[in-house]
Amino acid sequence: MATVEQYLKPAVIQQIKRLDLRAQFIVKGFLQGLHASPFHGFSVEFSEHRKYTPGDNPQDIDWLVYAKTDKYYTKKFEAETNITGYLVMDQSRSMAYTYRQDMTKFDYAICIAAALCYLMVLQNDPVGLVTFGEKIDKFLPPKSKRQQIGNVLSVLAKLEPTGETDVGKSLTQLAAMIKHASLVMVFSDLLGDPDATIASLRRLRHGGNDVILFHVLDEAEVDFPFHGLMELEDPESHQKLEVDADNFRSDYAEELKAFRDTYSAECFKSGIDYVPLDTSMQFDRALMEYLVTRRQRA
Amino acid sequence: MSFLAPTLLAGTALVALPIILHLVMRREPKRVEFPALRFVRKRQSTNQTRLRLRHWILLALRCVFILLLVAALARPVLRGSGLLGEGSAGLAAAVVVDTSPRMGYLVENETRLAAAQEMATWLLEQLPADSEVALVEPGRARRAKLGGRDAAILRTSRLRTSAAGAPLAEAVVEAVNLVGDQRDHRREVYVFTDLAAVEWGDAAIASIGEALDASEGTKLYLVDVGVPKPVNAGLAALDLSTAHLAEGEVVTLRTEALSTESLEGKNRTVEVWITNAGAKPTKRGELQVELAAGPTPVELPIAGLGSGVHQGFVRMEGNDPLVIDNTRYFTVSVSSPPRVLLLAESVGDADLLAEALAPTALSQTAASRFAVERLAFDDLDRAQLATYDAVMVLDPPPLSSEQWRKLSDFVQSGGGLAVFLGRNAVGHLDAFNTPAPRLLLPAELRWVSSTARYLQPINYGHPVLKELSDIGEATPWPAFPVLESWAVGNLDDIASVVATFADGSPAIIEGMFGSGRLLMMTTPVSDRAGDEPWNLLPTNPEPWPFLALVEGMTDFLVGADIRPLNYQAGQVVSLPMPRRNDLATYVLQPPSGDPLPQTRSPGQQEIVISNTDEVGNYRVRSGGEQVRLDRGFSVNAGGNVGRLARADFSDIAESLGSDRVELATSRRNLSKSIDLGTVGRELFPWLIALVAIALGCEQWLADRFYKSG
Repeated sequence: MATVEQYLKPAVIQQIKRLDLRAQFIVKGFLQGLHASPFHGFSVEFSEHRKYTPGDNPQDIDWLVYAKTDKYYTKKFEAETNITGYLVMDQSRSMAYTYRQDMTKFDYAICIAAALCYLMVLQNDPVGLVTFGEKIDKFLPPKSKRQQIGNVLSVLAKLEPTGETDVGKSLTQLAAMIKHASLVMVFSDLLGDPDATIASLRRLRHGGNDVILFHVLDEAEVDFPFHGLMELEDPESHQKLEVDADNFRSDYAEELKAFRDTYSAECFKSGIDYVPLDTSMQFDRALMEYLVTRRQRA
Repeated sequence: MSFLAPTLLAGTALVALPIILHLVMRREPKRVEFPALRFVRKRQSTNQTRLRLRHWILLALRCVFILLLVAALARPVLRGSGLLGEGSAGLAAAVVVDTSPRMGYLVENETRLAAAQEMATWLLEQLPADSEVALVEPGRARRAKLGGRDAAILRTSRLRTSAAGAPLAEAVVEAVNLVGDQRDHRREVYVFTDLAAVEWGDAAIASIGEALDASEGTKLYLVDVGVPKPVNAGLAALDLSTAHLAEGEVVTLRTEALSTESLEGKNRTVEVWITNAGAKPTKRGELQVELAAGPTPVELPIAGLGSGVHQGFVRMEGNDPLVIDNTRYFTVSVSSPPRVLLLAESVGDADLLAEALAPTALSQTAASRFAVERLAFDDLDRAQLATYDAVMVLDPPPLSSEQWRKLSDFVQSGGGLAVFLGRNAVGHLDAFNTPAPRLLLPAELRWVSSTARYLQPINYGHPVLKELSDIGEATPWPAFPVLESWAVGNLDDIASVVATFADGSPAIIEGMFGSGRLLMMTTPVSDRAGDEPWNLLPTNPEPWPFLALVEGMTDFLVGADIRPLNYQAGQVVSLPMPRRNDLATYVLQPPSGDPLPQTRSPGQQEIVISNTDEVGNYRVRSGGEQVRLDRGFSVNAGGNVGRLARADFSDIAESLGSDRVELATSRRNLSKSIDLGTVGRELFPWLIALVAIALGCEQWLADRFYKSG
């Protein structure tokens, strides 16, 4: 448990601040381009009118006002019972891996999670944080206060990925914990049993939750940039394998594609958003791309 | 395949190095952490197999590299003989030079032998000075010994063609065996030959092949000194109708004109010359012969030869490169017929035998072989037996002791006597078994055997049966039954049975007395068919076995010289000494050069001449002006000497194995093949190229394999 003292440590603050800034930067850039929330709540309350500017959704034009004033105004809504978001972070040892990138998979996931957290708090949506390894480890209940960003970020910043992972079990556990239909954003490298994971994702989805699966892999895990004779060691199970990397690359690529395709197909069937990412991608851009597609679909 | 530096082969042990490195010091793979191991695991097994395979390939390449390098440094040679052990003690070489008369073939005024000598000398000079070298000559092969090189060079320069024409293959076999004994030497046999087909027949090649099998590792070089398309015309061996003829008899010389294809259709003259010593050579016949692809028969009769020895030659006129087969020599001996006395109860009883020995029908036209006279026993007392060569006693009654003694004296002094016993002796056993007749009869008479039988000689080797020896057992004796004959007791110690009857009892017995010859026949040859004959030998139809038998007996008794007078070079010649003589010395006149005086050793019955290499007419004389001894003989080269058709080397190589025999036609060619055989073809450059390839492959593979990320 993080103590207040820990929060106050300059290094932590610095870290949080940096995370905060980074998240802000991502989200602001995103909003500058979009001007609209990609998330639509179940029930929203009208807050004010705003002059229509090109780019706004024409659906939002208040035709009654137009009839009275002969001018276009869009309705601005405020979420009343806003959508509750859960940032679900995989904190297994494998997430701490990077081969030659600046950020580990975990760092990368945190950045995106922070951005999403920022984005949701900005919309007054409550955001909670869940971390898991073999089971759920930390649980930060969702809140929509501005403060929540700091809380979430400080927890994330202090997390040290260790131990093994069991995505399926953890998500199943989570599904039982979530009372209301929520937006569940899962960040994991999914290096566990895919069948169990997919089953638990379905279960989450069946619980009425909107699920976004951010599949974060290291650049090396995608490109397999090794040459010659290599001995590969799994950081979690410490299993070792010797391979001739040059010959193996295409096999590996096929295997990875099959893996991603499985998730992609299964998620599509269940109405889950599957976002394959790797740490070489510009995370803001990756996020933005995803959010745009999601908004378009909405 | 062998190695010039075989000790370096020990370096093959270095092949253990990469294996040890492979097993012990495996190169560590680069170790990295990799969480997504699950994707790797699924495909890993195939990759692992590939990985292992590549490991092995790499190891194999390294081993191959080391082996090739070691092999290259050991300097392997192909078909050489530099392997340790063989050749460690140097070279054992045998040089066989064909000295047959064919080698006298002239090309550009040089005989083939001279060409062979020149090349052989050059070859011997090329050999290492410490080589064990032997010069093997056909006909003298057994005398060849391995020795110093210089001695062989000297002997090579002294080589002459030998008309004896001993088979080349024998010399080659001898040479192969000679060097074959030198197991620790490199073994080579050089054969200088004109590759004539007559020398390289299947049998010859087979015998050489056997010798090479027995002497493994021996290399045979055929040095061809012949010409590709020889030109020659000549005569085959001479065949005389008879070498001993009676006065007035005609002798016919038969031979064949041979030629190579290139002379086909040309006309040549064949002449016969008589060249008696002391007289001018005279031409006795001439014939035009058109040469053909095959042999053309030539027949030349000579008549009118007086008593004595006559020598001469048959010559084909015209020039060709090979001279030796243009002339063939001959010797004939003409003598007056031997005198034979037939003694019988009455003169008429001797008719049958007299007719058999000297047919009256023939006496008109030609000389008969014997001069036969008939006499009754009553007239024996006044007969001059010394003037006869043989006496034949037909069916004698008991003779007086004086008569027996007269016959004994005749035999004692060298005469021949035959006694044919018959019915006149019946009832007078005692008279025939007295000491006087027993001197001449080689067995005691016992009784008259009346069992019907026939002659069946067991052995036809005796001179009496020589005329029948060709047909031997096939002689139809059963057609000439013998109804009665004398049974005899044990033979005298010095007597022997010449011929027996079918039941094994003696029919003709040979005895010995003094310096003469004795024959006794146990059945007569004078019985006519009409009056209960003892046998039907002379009277049944077609009595040719009888004629041959009595002629043989008479020849034996008169001591007719039936030895051949015409020999092939190299054969041993023996000439009989006259029976009654006291010669102490004689002179042998060879065809060329000075006469060779010889001394007769006491008791010497014949003159033996073993050195007959020179072709031509030989003469042996003694007694100066009186000519008490005058004999001669001729020596010719073999009938094949003019057959120059060449053998095909590819056939020889096929039979002997192309790795064991090689052909050289020129000095350069010879030098090349010998170098190749001695040093071999070095494989170093090829191996080094392979080493480079192996190294390249290894580098490429290792580079791919251990490329650092």
